[in-house]
Amino acid sequence: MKKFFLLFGVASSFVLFSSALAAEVDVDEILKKADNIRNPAESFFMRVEVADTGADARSVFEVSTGGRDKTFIRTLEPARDKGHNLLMLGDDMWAYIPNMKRSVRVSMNQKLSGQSANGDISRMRWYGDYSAKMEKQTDKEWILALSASRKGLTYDRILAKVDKATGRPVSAEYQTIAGKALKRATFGGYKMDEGAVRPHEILIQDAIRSKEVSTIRILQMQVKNFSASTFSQAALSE
Amino acid sequence: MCFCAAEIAYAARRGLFPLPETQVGGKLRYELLLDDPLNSDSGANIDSVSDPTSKSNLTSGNPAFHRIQFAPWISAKWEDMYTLRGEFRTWIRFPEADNTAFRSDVSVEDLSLKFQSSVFRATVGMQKVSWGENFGMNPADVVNPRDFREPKSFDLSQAKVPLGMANAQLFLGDWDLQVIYAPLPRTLPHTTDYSWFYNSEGGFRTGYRLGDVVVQGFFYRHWNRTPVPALDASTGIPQSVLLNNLRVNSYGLSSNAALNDWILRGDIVVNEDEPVFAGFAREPERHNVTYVILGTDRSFANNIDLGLQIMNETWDKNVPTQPRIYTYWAGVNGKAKIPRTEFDSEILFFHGTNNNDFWLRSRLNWNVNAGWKIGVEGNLTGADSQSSFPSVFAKRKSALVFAESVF
Repeated sequence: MKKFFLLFGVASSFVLFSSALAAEVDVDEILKKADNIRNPAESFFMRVEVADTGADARSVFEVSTGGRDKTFIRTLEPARDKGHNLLMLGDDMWAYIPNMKRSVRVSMNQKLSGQSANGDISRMRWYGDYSAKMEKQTDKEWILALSASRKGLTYDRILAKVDKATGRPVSAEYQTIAGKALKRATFGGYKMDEGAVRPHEILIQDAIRSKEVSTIRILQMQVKNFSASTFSQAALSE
Repeated sequence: MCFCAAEIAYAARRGLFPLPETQVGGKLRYELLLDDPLNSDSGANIDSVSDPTSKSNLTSGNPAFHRIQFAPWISAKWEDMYTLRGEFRTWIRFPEADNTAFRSDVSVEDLSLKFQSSVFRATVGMQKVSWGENFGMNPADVVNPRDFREPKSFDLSQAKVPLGMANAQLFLGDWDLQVIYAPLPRTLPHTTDYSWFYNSEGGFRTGYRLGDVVVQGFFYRHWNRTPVPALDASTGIPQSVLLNNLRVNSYGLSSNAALNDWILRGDIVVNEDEPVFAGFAREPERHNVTYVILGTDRSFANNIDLGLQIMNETWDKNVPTQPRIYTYWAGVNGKAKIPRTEFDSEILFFHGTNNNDFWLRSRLNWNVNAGWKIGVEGNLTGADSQSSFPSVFAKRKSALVFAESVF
């Protein structure tokens, strides 16, 4: 009987301790903080370089983000792709085809360059798009399991590591709905920009062919407001 | 008072007026074409015997020729509000079938000034506008006429003849409106018979985005754009002619929607009083022609795009002796980037479901480096229906080899 009470006491203490820990850690707050580190404001402008290893491929994009659900991507390099601009409104995306001088609707998972998908630079927020739960934690990191809250997002599931001390995103594994790893992203190159220390380099590696890596570098970041007509199909031709 | 460059630069530095953000670029392209391009230029082939009004024969040129194109552009932007854009294209092709040493052309592809505010955008000048959702034959794309000297390139921008127009757009949340007025229509290049009010073309398009679905309605009043089959006055042999003196009203609906990873597209277009056949020495037969095109496509994670499309053309029964005519086609379009290479390929195949029309197009491009691309394209077409398909394509084979530098 004594043993039973002892065991019950230990188990109760564990449950209480776990509950206290769970109450202490608000996963949504972790996500919001990680988002705020990656995004300087609701509306901002970025100049981004995407370099693929193994190939002589380097692309440069200008990314205009207006609020949570509007993004305009202008392709500057390589010269042969200049004008292949993209517009994202909510979960819908349009691409401009310069040869045809017309915009066509495309799906979000269309590749941008190498391992990077359109969504990797057009949608840099997790909170709101994904529901999160604490997968596990170490002394230094929280590991969050994120599930897409609706269809049409670039990735169905993400396993995100966030640094406990700073709230910075460390890495992310992008997965299929069945949990199979597609790509792995590592956030680095942290430096001061637009009022906070933010990542300026994201390495995206194919989960199977590990030598296939794309590096997304943020060359310029600026808080900026845009007019409504910036996020229209008509603007794609510019 | 002399405003030399130094004074202008000094004034700009002092902020008296802002200097624009300027960009320049262009394209140099060599083509070897194994085809018989249609000659419709210079008005040299107007057949004034069988039709006293305006009818242009689209005659065949040399079956093999070289073409060199140069297309520079410049864009100057002031404070995200005004943009002045100029794009020009010049080409020379040789040899020619009619003992001419070469043919050449210089055209203004775009020369326009755009004003943009938060919800309004207006562009005035020479420009090209694209309407419609589908590929290949796109009857909703009515704003610019086609240059039939561009063989098999109907879905390429260079096959569109730029028009001088006022193009105004309004954006209010999920609703938008576009109004176009083109006082100087150019059904064929080099047409100079302008009469502003009588000749003008114009119309509007309005769209609404409701969740994942975008629906657009449009109306455009224009001169006939589509060549029709006709009997040659002297030989009696069928050929393509463009009756560019006939008014046609085009109206319809376009829509696109996302269904999971699939994109759905649709166009319904009615061409009122479209000429469909021009018999020898008699008035052309005109019908209300309805086009219905439904398509879907999907991008797969391994850089493969797949598209499916079905198309119907129906001639309304406005000629007592003529039954209502239905023509159907089905098509598939695939694009793939060959893994771990700089090659991408594309294949398009249309075939009639109640006729023997067909169109097979295959392309292979090699992206040599950031600026250079080399490619080959083959087209194989055949037609036996009475629809608009054979008047443009007929039974032909063509091949294109190109090298292109973009800078």
